[in-house]
Amino acid sequence: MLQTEDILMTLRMFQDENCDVRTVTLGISLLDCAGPNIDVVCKKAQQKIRDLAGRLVELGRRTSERYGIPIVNYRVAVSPVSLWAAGHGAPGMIRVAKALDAVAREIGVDFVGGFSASVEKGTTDADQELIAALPEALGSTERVCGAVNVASSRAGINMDAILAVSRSLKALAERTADRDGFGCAKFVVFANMPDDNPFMAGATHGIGEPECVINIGVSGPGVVKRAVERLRSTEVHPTLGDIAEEIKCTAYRVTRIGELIGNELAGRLGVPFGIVDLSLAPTPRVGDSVGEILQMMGGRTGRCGGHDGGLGPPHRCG
Amino acid sequence: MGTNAPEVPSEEYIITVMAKDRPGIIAAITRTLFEMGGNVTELSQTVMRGYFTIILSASLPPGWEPEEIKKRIEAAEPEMELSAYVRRYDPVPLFVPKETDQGAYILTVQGKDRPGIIAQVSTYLASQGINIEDFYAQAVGDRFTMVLQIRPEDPWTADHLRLDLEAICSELGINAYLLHQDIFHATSEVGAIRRLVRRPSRGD
Repeated sequence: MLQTEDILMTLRMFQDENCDVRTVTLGISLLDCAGPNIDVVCKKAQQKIRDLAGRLVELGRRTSERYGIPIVNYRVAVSPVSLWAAGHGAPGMIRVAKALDAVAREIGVDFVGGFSASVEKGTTDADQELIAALPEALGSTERVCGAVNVASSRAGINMDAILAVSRSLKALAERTADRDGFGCAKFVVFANMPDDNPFMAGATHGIGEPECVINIGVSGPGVVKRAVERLRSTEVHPTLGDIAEEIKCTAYRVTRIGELIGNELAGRLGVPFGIVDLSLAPTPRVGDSVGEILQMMGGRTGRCGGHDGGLGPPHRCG
Repeated sequence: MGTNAPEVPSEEYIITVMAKDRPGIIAAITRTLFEMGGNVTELSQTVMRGYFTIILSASLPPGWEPEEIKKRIEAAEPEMELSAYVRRYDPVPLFVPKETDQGAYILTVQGKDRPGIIAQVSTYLASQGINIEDFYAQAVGDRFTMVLQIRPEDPWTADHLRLDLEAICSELGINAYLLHQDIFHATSEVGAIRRLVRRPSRGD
Protein backbone atom coordinates (compact mmCIF):
# COMPACT_ATOMS: atom_id res chain seq x y z
CA MET A 1 0.00 0.00 0.00
CA LEU A 2 1.41 3.42 -0.96
CA GLN A 3 1.88 5.86 1.89
CA THR A 4 1.17 9.55 1.35
CA GLU A 5 4.54 10.43 2.86
CA ASP A 6 6.35 8.21 0.35
CA ILE A 7 4.35 9.70 -2.51
CA LEU A 8 5.24 13.23 -1.48
CA MET A 9 8.91 12.36 -0.97
CA THR A 10 9.14 10.86 -4.47
CA LEU A 11 7.18 13.72 -5.97
CA ARG A 12 9.59 16.21 -4.44
CA MET A 13 12.39 14.66 -6.50
CA PHE A 14 10.64 15.73 -9.70
CA GLN A 15 9.12 18.92 -8.40
CA ASP A 16 12.11 20.66 -6.81
CA GLU A 17 15.17 18.54 -7.40
CA ASN A 18 15.77 18.26 -11.14
CA CYS A 19 15.16 14.50 -11.20
CA ASP A 20 14.63 13.18 -14.70
CA VAL A 21 15.73 10.37 -16.94
CA ARG A 22 18.60 12.20 -18.53
CA THR A 23 19.62 9.69 -21.14
CA VAL A 24 18.43 6.58 -22.85
CA THR A 25 21.26 4.94 -24.78
CA LEU A 26 20.76 2.03 -27.13
CA GLY A 27 24.00 0.08 -27.59
CA ILE A 28 24.27 -1.71 -30.93
CA SER A 29 26.96 -4.11 -32.14
CA LEU A 30 28.06 -3.23 -35.67
CA LEU A 31 30.84 -5.83 -35.87
CA ASP A 32 28.87 -7.73 -38.52
CA CYS A 33 28.91 -4.66 -40.79
CA ALA A 34 32.64 -4.97 -41.66
CA GLY A 35 33.39 -5.60 -45.33
CA PRO A 36 35.63 -4.83 -48.30
CA ASN A 37 33.40 -2.13 -49.80
CA ILE A 38 33.03 1.04 -47.70
CA ASP A 39 29.70 1.94 -49.32
CA VAL A 40 28.30 -1.41 -48.29
CA VAL A 41 29.79 -1.05 -44.79
CA CYS A 42 28.08 2.33 -44.35
CA LYS A 43 24.75 1.10 -45.71
CA LYS A 44 24.78 -2.02 -43.52
CA ALA A 45 25.60 0.05 -40.44
CA GLN A 46 22.85 2.54 -41.22
CA GLN A 47 20.31 -0.19 -41.87
CA LYS A 48 21.13 -2.03 -38.66
CA ILE A 49 20.81 1.18 -36.62
CA ARG A 50 17.56 2.00 -38.40
CA ASP A 51 16.18 -1.49 -37.71
CA LEU A 52 17.08 -1.55 -34.03
CA ALA A 53 16.86 2.11 -33.02
CA GLY A 54 14.38 3.42 -35.58
CA ARG A 55 11.58 3.53 -33.00
CA LEU A 56 13.75 4.36 -29.99
CA VAL A 57 12.58 7.97 -29.72
CA GLU A 58 8.93 7.20 -30.45
CA LEU A 59 8.74 4.33 -27.93
CA GLY A 60 10.77 6.38 -25.45
CA ARG A 61 8.19 9.16 -25.69
CA ARG A 62 5.40 6.67 -25.12
CA THR A 63 7.18 5.31 -22.06
CA SER A 64 7.71 8.85 -20.84
CA GLU A 65 3.99 9.57 -21.35
CA ARG A 66 2.96 6.41 -19.55
CA TYR A 67 4.91 7.23 -16.41
CA GLY A 68 4.72 11.00 -16.57
CA ILE A 69 8.53 11.34 -16.39
CA PRO A 70 10.58 13.31 -18.91
CA ILE A 71 13.36 11.63 -20.88
CA VAL A 72 15.81 14.35 -21.88
CA ASN A 73 18.19 12.74 -24.40
CA TYR A 74 18.18 9.75 -26.73
CA ARG A 75 21.48 8.29 -27.90
CA VAL A 76 22.94 5.35 -29.78
CA ALA A 77 26.32 3.78 -28.94
CA VAL A 78 27.90 1.52 -31.55
CA SER A 79 30.89 -0.85 -31.56
CA PRO A 80 34.20 1.05 -31.82
CA VAL A 81 34.47 2.16 -35.44
CA SER A 82 38.16 1.17 -35.59
CA LEU A 83 37.08 -2.47 -35.24
CA TRP A 84 34.53 -2.70 -38.04
CA ALA A 85 35.57 0.02 -40.52
CA ALA A 86 39.24 -0.98 -40.84
CA GLY A 87 40.97 -1.17 -44.20
CA HIS A 88 39.37 1.85 -45.87
CA GLY A 89 41.82 4.59 -44.86
CA ALA A 90 41.03 7.91 -43.19
CA PRO A 91 38.59 8.85 -45.99
CA GLY A 92 36.68 5.64 -45.25
CA MET A 93 36.50 6.56 -41.57
CA ILE A 94 35.11 9.99 -42.49
CA ARG A 95 32.48 8.34 -44.72
CA VAL A 96 31.46 6.16 -41.78
CA ALA A 97 31.15 9.20 -39.48
CA LYS A 98 28.95 10.97 -42.02
CA ALA A 99 26.82 7.85 -42.47
CA LEU A 100 26.36 7.57 -38.69
CA ASP A 101 25.48 11.27 -38.50
CA ALA A 102 22.89 10.94 -41.25
CA VAL A 103 21.18 7.94 -39.67
CA ALA A 104 21.25 9.60 -36.21
CA ARG A 105 19.46 12.61 -37.65
CA GLU A 106 17.01 10.36 -39.52
CA ILE A 107 15.94 8.42 -36.41
CA GLY A 108 15.99 11.54 -34.22
CA VAL A 109 18.60 10.62 -31.62
CA ASP A 110 20.69 13.41 -30.09
CA PHE A 111 24.06 11.67 -30.39
CA VAL A 112 25.69 8.56 -31.77
CA GLY A 113 28.84 7.45 -29.97
CA GLY A 114 31.50 4.95 -30.95
CA PHE A 115 33.83 6.77 -33.33
CA SER A 116 36.53 5.36 -31.14
CA ALA A 117 39.67 3.30 -30.75
CA SER A 118 41.75 1.74 -27.97
CA VAL A 119 45.46 2.33 -28.44
CA GLU A 120 46.91 2.08 -24.93
CA LYS A 121 49.35 -0.67 -25.88
CA GLY A 122 49.79 -0.02 -29.57
CA THR A 123 48.18 1.55 -32.58
CA THR A 124 46.83 -0.43 -35.52
CA ASP A 125 46.55 1.01 -39.03
CA ALA A 126 42.81 1.41 -38.50
CA ASP A 127 43.41 3.25 -35.20
CA GLN A 128 45.82 5.64 -36.93
CA GLU A 129 43.32 6.25 -39.69
CA LEU A 130 40.58 6.95 -37.17
CA ILE A 131 42.76 9.40 -35.24
CA ALA A 132 43.76 11.13 -38.49
CA ALA A 133 40.10 11.32 -39.53
CA LEU A 134 38.97 12.89 -36.23
CA PRO A 135 39.08 16.59 -37.26
CA GLU A 136 36.87 16.11 -40.29
CA ALA A 137 34.80 13.22 -38.91
CA LEU A 138 33.74 15.11 -35.75
CA GLY A 139 34.11 18.61 -37.21
CA SER A 140 31.82 18.09 -40.18
CA THR A 141 29.17 16.07 -38.36
CA GLU A 142 26.62 17.22 -35.84
CA ARG A 143 25.81 14.19 -33.71
CA VAL A 144 28.82 11.85 -33.93
CA CYS A 145 30.91 11.44 -30.76
CA GLY A 146 34.30 9.78 -30.45
CA ALA A 147 36.89 8.62 -27.95
CA VAL A 148 40.40 7.23 -27.85
CA ASN A 149 41.82 5.26 -24.94
CA VAL A 150 45.51 6.18 -24.77
CA ALA A 151 46.57 4.59 -21.49
CA SER A 152 45.80 1.86 -18.99
CA SER A 153 47.18 0.84 -15.60
CA ARG A 154 48.24 -2.47 -17.10
CA ALA A 155 49.77 -1.31 -20.39
CA GLY A 156 51.03 2.15 -19.44
CA ILE A 157 50.78 5.30 -21.53
CA ASN A 158 51.05 5.33 -25.32
CA MET A 159 52.90 8.64 -25.77
CA ASP A 160 52.98 8.39 -29.58
CA ALA A 161 49.23 8.00 -29.61
CA ILE A 162 48.83 10.97 -27.27
CA LEU A 163 50.85 13.10 -29.71
CA ALA A 164 48.74 11.98 -32.66
CA VAL A 165 45.49 12.52 -30.76
CA SER A 166 46.68 15.95 -29.56
CA ARG A 167 47.35 17.08 -33.12
CA SER A 168 43.95 15.87 -34.25
CA LEU A 169 42.27 17.49 -31.27
CA LYS A 170 43.93 20.82 -32.05
CA ALA A 171 42.87 20.58 -35.68
CA LEU A 172 39.34 19.70 -34.57
CA ALA A 173 39.21 22.73 -32.27
CA GLU A 174 40.40 25.01 -35.08
CA ARG A 175 37.93 23.48 -37.49
CA THR A 176 35.02 24.16 -35.12
CA ALA A 177 36.34 27.49 -33.79
CA ASP A 178 33.21 29.27 -35.02
CA ARG A 179 31.18 27.08 -32.61
CA ASP A 180 33.45 27.58 -29.59
CA GLY A 181 35.42 24.49 -30.59
CA PHE A 182 32.35 22.33 -30.02
CA GLY A 183 33.86 19.46 -32.02
CA CYS A 184 36.12 18.78 -29.02
CA ALA A 185 33.11 18.53 -26.68
CA LYS A 186 32.12 15.45 -28.69
CA PHE A 187 35.45 13.77 -28.04
CA VAL A 188 36.96 12.07 -24.98
CA VAL A 189 40.57 11.01 -24.36
CA PHE A 190 40.55 8.14 -21.89
CA ALA A 191 42.90 6.33 -19.59
CA ASN A 192 41.45 3.02 -18.37
CA MET A 193 38.38 3.32 -20.55
CA PRO A 194 35.81 0.73 -19.51
CA ASP A 195 35.14 -2.10 -21.95
CA ASP A 196 31.76 -0.63 -22.63
CA ASN A 197 30.49 2.79 -21.80
CA PRO A 198 27.03 4.20 -22.41
CA PHE A 199 27.95 7.76 -21.45
CA MET A 200 28.57 10.41 -24.06
CA ALA A 201 30.79 11.63 -25.44
CA GLY A 202 32.84 8.50 -24.80
CA ALA A 203 30.06 5.98 -25.40
CA THR A 204 30.84 2.76 -27.19
CA HIS A 205 29.14 -0.60 -27.39
CA GLY A 206 31.98 -2.79 -26.17
CA ILE A 207 33.13 -6.32 -26.78
CA GLY A 208 31.31 -8.62 -24.36
CA GLU A 209 28.02 -6.78 -24.74
CA PRO A 210 24.94 -8.35 -26.32
CA GLU A 211 23.85 -7.54 -29.87
CA CYS A 212 21.77 -4.66 -28.60
CA VAL A 213 21.10 -3.27 -25.11
CA ILE A 214 19.29 -0.36 -23.42
CA ASN A 215 21.14 1.68 -20.77
CA ILE A 216 19.66 4.48 -18.69
CA GLY A 217 21.23 7.55 -17.14
CA VAL A 218 19.41 9.33 -14.32
CA SER A 219 20.38 12.67 -12.83
CA GLY A 220 21.68 12.49 -9.31
CA PRO A 221 23.33 15.66 -8.02
CA GLY A 222 20.26 17.86 -7.49
CA VAL A 223 18.27 15.15 -5.71
CA VAL A 224 21.14 14.03 -3.49
CA LYS A 225 22.09 17.60 -2.61
CA ARG A 226 18.56 18.48 -1.52
CA ALA A 227 18.32 15.27 0.54
CA VAL A 228 21.53 16.17 2.40
CA GLU A 229 20.32 19.75 2.77
CA ARG A 230 17.03 18.56 4.29
CA LEU A 231 18.82 16.24 6.69
CA ARG A 232 21.07 19.05 7.87
CA SER A 233 18.11 21.34 8.41
CA THR A 234 16.16 18.77 10.45
CA GLU A 235 18.96 17.18 12.49
CA VAL A 236 21.28 19.26 14.64
CA HIS A 237 24.52 17.33 14.17
CA PRO A 238 24.08 14.57 11.58
CA THR A 239 27.03 12.17 11.52
CA LEU A 240 28.73 11.10 8.32
CA GLY A 241 26.85 7.80 8.83
CA ASP A 242 23.51 9.66 8.87
CA ILE A 243 24.43 11.51 5.69
CA ALA A 244 25.61 8.30 4.01
CA GLU A 245 22.30 6.64 4.93
CA GLU A 246 20.33 9.55 3.46
CA ILE A 247 22.36 9.47 0.25
CA LYS A 248 21.92 5.70 0.03
CA CYS A 249 18.13 5.95 0.30
CA THR A 250 18.00 8.81 -2.20
CA ALA A 251 20.25 7.00 -4.66
CA TYR A 252 17.95 3.98 -4.32
CA ARG A 253 14.89 6.01 -5.25
CA VAL A 254 16.57 7.65 -8.24
CA THR A 255 18.13 4.50 -9.67
CA ARG A 256 14.89 2.56 -9.26
CA ILE A 257 13.14 5.12 -11.45
CA GLY A 258 15.82 4.57 -14.10
CA GLU A 259 15.45 0.82 -13.76
CA LEU A 260 11.67 1.04 -14.19
CA ILE A 261 11.87 3.23 -17.29
CA GLY A 262 14.72 1.11 -18.73
CA ASN A 263 12.88 -2.17 -18.24
CA GLU A 264 9.68 -0.81 -19.74
CA LEU A 265 11.46 0.63 -22.78
CA ALA A 266 13.55 -2.52 -23.23
CA GLY A 267 10.30 -4.52 -23.26
CA ARG A 268 8.77 -2.24 -25.85
CA LEU A 269 11.87 -2.39 -28.07
CA GLY A 270 12.31 -6.13 -27.55
CA VAL A 271 15.93 -5.77 -26.43
CA PRO A 272 17.61 -6.59 -23.11
CA PHE A 273 17.94 -4.01 -20.36
CA GLY A 274 21.52 -3.22 -19.36
CA ILE A 275 22.40 -0.82 -16.57
CA VAL A 276 21.39 2.37 -14.78
CA ASP A 277 23.92 5.14 -14.30
CA LEU A 278 23.28 7.52 -11.45
CA SER A 279 25.03 10.34 -13.23
CA LEU A 280 27.20 12.69 -11.23
CA ALA A 281 27.81 14.82 -14.27
CA PRO A 282 26.59 18.37 -13.71
CA THR A 283 24.24 20.34 -15.88
CA PRO A 284 24.52 24.13 -16.15
CA ARG A 285 21.56 24.43 -13.76
CA VAL A 286 22.41 25.74 -10.30
CA GLY A 287 21.99 22.97 -7.72
CA ASP A 288 22.81 20.17 -10.13
CA SER A 289 26.47 19.57 -9.35
CA VAL A 290 28.27 16.89 -7.35
CA GLY A 291 30.65 19.55 -6.02
CA GLU A 292 27.73 21.25 -4.29
CA ILE A 293 26.90 17.94 -2.57
CA LEU A 294 30.43 17.81 -1.14
CA GLN A 295 30.06 21.41 0.01
CA MET A 296 26.74 20.55 1.62
CA MET A 297 28.43 17.69 3.48
CA GLY A 298 30.96 20.15 4.84
CA GLY A 299 33.74 19.68 2.30
CA ARG A 300 35.44 22.45 0.35
CA THR A 301 35.60 22.40 -3.43
CA GLY A 302 36.63 24.80 -6.12
CA ARG A 303 34.42 25.30 -9.13
CA CYS A 304 31.99 22.41 -9.10
CA GLY A 305 32.25 19.76 -11.74
CA GLY A 306 31.65 16.14 -12.60
CA HIS A 307 33.63 13.05 -13.45
CA ASP A 308 32.42 12.26 -16.90
CA GLY A 309 31.34 14.29 -19.87
CA GLY A 310 27.61 14.38 -19.30
CA LEU A 311 27.02 15.62 -22.80
CA GLY A 312 23.67 17.26 -23.23
CA PRO A 313 22.31 18.69 -26.46
CA PRO A 314 24.68 21.31 -27.90
CA HIS A 315 22.76 24.29 -26.53
CA ARG A 316 22.87 22.87 -22.99
CA CYS A 317 26.49 21.93 -22.92
CA GLY A 318 28.29 24.01 -20.32
CA MET B 1 -12.91 -11.66 10.49
CA GLY B 2 -13.24 -15.39 10.29
CA THR B 3 -11.25 -17.64 8.06
CA ASN B 4 -13.42 -20.63 8.89
CA ALA B 5 -16.82 -19.03 8.40
CA PRO B 6 -19.64 -21.54 8.76
CA GLU B 7 -21.37 -22.34 5.49
CA VAL B 8 -24.92 -21.43 6.49
CA PRO B 9 -27.36 -19.16 4.62
CA SER B 10 -26.47 -15.54 5.25
CA GLU B 11 -27.07 -11.99 4.11
CA GLU B 12 -24.36 -9.41 3.43
CA TYR B 13 -24.45 -5.92 4.93
CA ILE B 14 -22.30 -2.82 4.52
CA ILE B 15 -21.94 -1.00 7.83
CA THR B 16 -20.33 2.33 8.69
CA VAL B 17 -19.83 3.62 12.21
CA MET B 18 -18.53 6.99 13.40
CA ALA B 19 -17.63 8.17 16.87
CA LYS B 20 -15.09 10.19 18.79
CA ASP B 21 -12.02 8.00 18.89
CA ARG B 22 -11.20 5.96 22.00
CA PRO B 23 -10.04 2.41 22.73
CA GLY B 24 -12.69 -0.32 22.42
CA ILE B 25 -14.84 0.90 19.52
CA ILE B 26 -13.95 -1.94 17.13
CA ALA B 27 -14.34 -4.42 19.98
CA ALA B 28 -17.86 -3.09 20.71
CA ILE B 29 -18.92 -3.26 17.05
CA THR B 30 -17.48 -6.65 16.22
CA ARG B 31 -18.63 -8.22 19.51
CA THR B 32 -22.19 -7.08 18.76
CA LEU B 33 -22.05 -8.55 15.26
CA PHE B 34 -20.57 -11.80 16.59
CA GLU B 35 -23.37 -12.10 19.17
CA MET B 36 -25.88 -11.65 16.32
CA GLY B 37 -24.26 -14.64 14.53
CA GLY B 38 -22.39 -12.41 12.08
CA ASN B 39 -18.99 -12.62 10.46
CA VAL B 40 -16.89 -9.65 9.33
CA THR B 41 -15.51 -10.16 5.81
CA GLU B 42 -13.77 -6.85 5.08
CA LEU B 43 -12.92 -3.82 7.17
CA SER B 44 -11.24 -0.45 6.84
CA GLN B 45 -10.92 2.25 9.48
CA THR B 46 -9.53 5.72 9.68
CA VAL B 47 -9.12 8.37 12.37
CA MET B 48 -9.21 12.06 11.47
CA ARG B 49 -8.81 14.89 14.00
CA GLY B 50 -9.84 12.56 16.81
CA TYR B 51 -12.88 11.15 15.02
CA PHE B 52 -13.02 7.46 14.22
CA THR B 53 -14.81 6.05 11.15
CA ILE B 54 -15.07 2.46 10.07
CA ILE B 55 -16.61 0.80 7.04
CA LEU B 56 -17.03 -2.94 7.11
CA SER B 57 -18.71 -5.74 5.25
CA ALA B 58 -20.38 -8.44 7.35
CA SER B 59 -22.55 -11.46 6.71
CA LEU B 60 -25.35 -12.22 9.16
CA PRO B 61 -27.97 -14.94 9.36
CA PRO B 62 -30.98 -14.07 7.17
CA GLY B 63 -33.73 -11.96 8.69
CA TRP B 64 -31.90 -9.09 10.33
CA GLU B 65 -33.29 -5.69 9.36
CA PRO B 66 -30.65 -2.97 8.79
CA GLU B 67 -32.40 -0.74 11.33
CA GLU B 68 -32.15 -3.45 14.01
CA ILE B 69 -28.42 -3.96 13.33
CA LYS B 70 -27.88 -0.20 13.61
CA LYS B 71 -29.75 -0.06 16.95
CA ARG B 72 -27.79 -2.95 18.40
CA ILE B 73 -24.41 -1.46 17.39
CA GLU B 74 -25.32 1.95 18.79
CA ALA B 75 -26.59 0.37 22.01
CA ALA B 76 -23.49 -1.78 22.46
CA GLU B 77 -21.61 0.85 24.50
CA PRO B 78 -23.91 3.88 24.98
CA GLU B 79 -21.14 6.05 26.44
CA MET B 80 -19.23 5.72 23.16
CA GLU B 81 -22.03 7.54 21.29
CA LEU B 82 -21.60 5.42 18.16
CA SER B 83 -23.43 6.57 15.01
CA ALA B 84 -24.04 3.61 12.71
CA TYR B 85 -25.43 3.32 9.21
CA VAL B 86 -26.34 -0.05 7.73
CA ARG B 87 -27.31 -1.13 4.21
CA ARG B 88 -27.99 -4.51 2.65
CA TYR B 89 -25.15 -5.30 0.24
CA ASP B 90 -26.16 -4.89 -3.42
CA PRO B 91 -23.67 -6.72 -5.66
CA VAL B 92 -24.74 -4.87 -8.83
CA PRO B 93 -22.26 -1.98 -9.37
CA LEU B 94 -23.51 1.39 -10.61
CA PHE B 95 -20.19 2.03 -12.31
CA VAL B 96 -17.98 -0.43 -14.16
CA PRO B 97 -14.52 0.94 -14.96
CA LYS B 98 -13.24 0.25 -18.48
CA GLU B 99 -10.91 -2.72 -18.77
CA THR B 100 -7.31 -1.49 -18.87
CA ASP B 101 -3.86 -2.88 -18.19
CA GLN B 102 -2.73 0.67 -17.67
CA GLY B 103 -2.51 0.64 -13.86
CA ALA B 104 -3.45 3.49 -11.61
CA TYR B 105 -2.06 7.02 -11.59
CA ILE B 106 -1.41 9.20 -8.58
CA LEU B 107 -2.56 12.79 -8.89
CA THR B 108 -0.95 15.11 -6.36
CA VAL B 109 -2.11 18.68 -5.95
CA GLN B 110 -0.14 21.05 -3.71
CA GLY B 111 -0.15 24.74 -3.01
CA LYS B 112 -1.70 27.58 -1.03
CA ASP B 113 -5.03 26.55 0.43
CA ARG B 114 -8.21 28.18 -0.79
CA PRO B 115 -11.85 27.09 -0.95
CA GLY B 116 -12.95 25.14 -4.02
CA ILE B 117 -9.79 23.24 -4.96
CA ILE B 118 -11.26 19.79 -4.29
CA ALA B 119 -14.56 20.77 -5.88
CA GLN B 120 -12.93 22.04 -9.08
CA VAL B 121 -10.55 19.12 -9.52
CA SER B 122 -13.17 16.48 -8.72
CA THR B 123 -15.76 18.15 -10.94
CA TYR B 124 -13.28 18.10 -13.82
CA LEU B 125 -12.48 14.41 -13.22
CA ALA B 126 -16.21 13.59 -13.07
CA SER B 127 -16.75 15.42 -16.36
CA GLN B 128 -14.12 13.15 -17.93
CA GLY B 129 -15.78 10.00 -16.51
CA ILE B 130 -12.79 9.38 -14.23
CA ASN B 131 -13.53 7.62 -10.96
CA ILE B 132 -11.52 8.58 -7.86
CA GLU B 133 -10.36 5.32 -6.29
CA ASP B 134 -8.58 6.72 -3.27
CA PHE B 135 -8.31 10.19 -1.83
CA TYR B 136 -6.35 11.96 0.87
CA ALA B 137 -6.35 15.70 1.49
CA GLN B 138 -5.01 17.88 4.26
CA ALA B 139 -4.43 21.57 4.88
CA VAL B 140 -1.65 22.41 7.31
CA GLY B 141 -1.63 26.16 7.92
CA ASP B 142 -2.24 27.63 4.51
CA ARG B 143 -0.46 24.76 2.73
CA PHE B 144 -2.82 22.33 1.02
CA THR B 145 -1.99 18.84 -0.22
CA MET B 146 -4.23 16.28 -1.85
CA VAL B 147 -3.36 12.89 -3.26
CA LEU B 148 -5.81 11.01 -5.47
CA GLN B 149 -5.66 7.66 -7.18
CA ILE B 150 -7.32 7.52 -10.58
CA ARG B 151 -7.24 5.10 -13.51
CA PRO B 152 -7.14 6.64 -17.00
CA GLU B 153 -7.81 4.05 -19.67
CA ASP B 154 -4.60 4.67 -21.65
CA PRO B 155 -1.43 6.83 -21.61
CA TRP B 156 -2.96 9.35 -24.03
CA THR B 157 -5.88 9.92 -21.68
CA ALA B 158 -3.39 10.30 -18.83
CA ASP B 159 -1.43 12.85 -20.84
CA HIS B 160 -4.59 14.74 -21.72
CA LEU B 161 -5.71 14.75 -18.07
CA ARG B 162 -2.25 15.92 -17.01
CA LEU B 163 -2.34 18.93 -19.31
CA ASP B 164 -5.91 19.87 -18.31
CA LEU B 165 -5.25 19.46 -14.60
CA GLU B 166 -2.05 21.49 -14.80
CA ALA B 167 -4.04 24.28 -16.48
CA ILE B 168 -6.94 24.11 -13.97
CA CYS B 169 -4.59 24.09 -10.99
CA SER B 170 -2.42 26.82 -12.45
CA GLU B 171 -5.52 29.08 -12.51
CA LEU B 172 -6.05 28.23 -8.85
CA GLY B 173 -2.43 29.15 -8.15
CA ILE B 174 -1.47 25.58 -7.19
CA ASN B 175 0.52 22.73 -8.77
CA ALA B 176 -0.75 19.40 -10.08
CA TYR B 177 1.36 16.33 -10.85
CA LEU B 178 0.12 13.13 -12.44
CA LEU B 179 2.52 10.18 -12.27
CA HIS B 180 2.03 6.46 -12.79
CA GLN B 181 1.72 4.55 -9.53
CA ASP B 182 4.60 2.24 -10.51
CA ILE B 183 6.99 5.17 -10.06
CA PHE B 184 6.00 5.27 -6.40
CA HIS B 185 6.09 1.50 -6.03
CA ALA B 186 9.59 1.51 -7.55
CA THR B 187 10.88 4.23 -5.22
CA SER B 188 9.13 3.14 -2.02
CA GLU B 189 9.21 -0.66 -2.10
CA VAL B 190 11.93 -3.27 -2.26
CA GLY B 191 10.39 -5.75 -4.74
CA ALA B 192 11.99 -6.49 -8.12
CA ILE B 193 11.28 -3.92 -10.83
CA ARG B 194 10.44 -6.71 -13.25
CA ARG B 195 7.26 -7.35 -11.27
CA LEU B 196 6.06 -3.85 -12.10
CA VAL B 197 6.87 -3.79 -15.79
CA ARG B 198 4.30 -5.18 -18.17
CA ARG B 199 5.62 -7.07 -21.15
CA PRO B 200 3.94 -5.55 -24.18
CA SER B 201 4.23 -7.08 -27.60
CA ARG B 202 7.12 -5.65 -29.58
CA GLY B 203 6.28 -2.32 -31.11
CA ASP B 204 3.37 -1.63 -28.76
